[in-house]
Amino acid sequence: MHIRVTFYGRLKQDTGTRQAALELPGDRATVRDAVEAALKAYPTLAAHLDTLACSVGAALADPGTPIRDGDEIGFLPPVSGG
Amino acid sequence: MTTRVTDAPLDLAPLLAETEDDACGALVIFSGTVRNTNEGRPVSGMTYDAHVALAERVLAEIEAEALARFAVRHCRIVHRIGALALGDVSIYIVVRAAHRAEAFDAARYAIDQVKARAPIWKEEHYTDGASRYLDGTPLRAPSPEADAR
Repeated sequence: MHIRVTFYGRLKQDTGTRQAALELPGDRATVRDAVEAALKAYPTLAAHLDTLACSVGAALADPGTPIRDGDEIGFLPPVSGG
Repeated sequence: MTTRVTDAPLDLAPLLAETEDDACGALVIFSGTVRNTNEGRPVSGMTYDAHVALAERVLAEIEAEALARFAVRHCRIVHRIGALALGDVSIYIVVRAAHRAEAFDAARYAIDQVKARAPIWKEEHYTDGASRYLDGTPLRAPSPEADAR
């Protein structure tokens, strides 16, 4: 399945990428699978895993949240708005 | 649809107009602006990044929570993103209530929740040309990877 991953804040800086297309094997996957695939493509993400959150579309997601072909997975570091 | 996250300069007047209410004797406005130093380093400006669609939802949720938790009649939050100069307004929170105590409490709640929950990130720029993303609050822990172990 094809997904898009989007890196926000310092993750955009560390990966050097705002958005990328990734291919996941099979037609069933979860956010956890997307994170593992992104980690292979962007090893610098490893330093941020302990504080990483993810979104699917416009919603926060758990590691077990199912994802579908075409989904956009957001990689969200600790937030600092205001 | 109401816009809460924008890269345009923030305008207070429409927020005041849309929350006008004769039943309210208190109006509290919180405004965050770009400060010229942080931790002793001279700051030249700030760039805000956001997951806009999710941030819009979170800010709307925080507004609704403020109305539910406190005796206030109006709560509006807008946040600017993109490149901001010193003194530029990054956020307005407008609260109207019958009485001041509830209005202050709700405004404090709203800004604290924005800082902890809105998917928005600050990159600080310094006068020496360097920049860095500020440390923040993790949205959810443990991470997907940590959870998988």
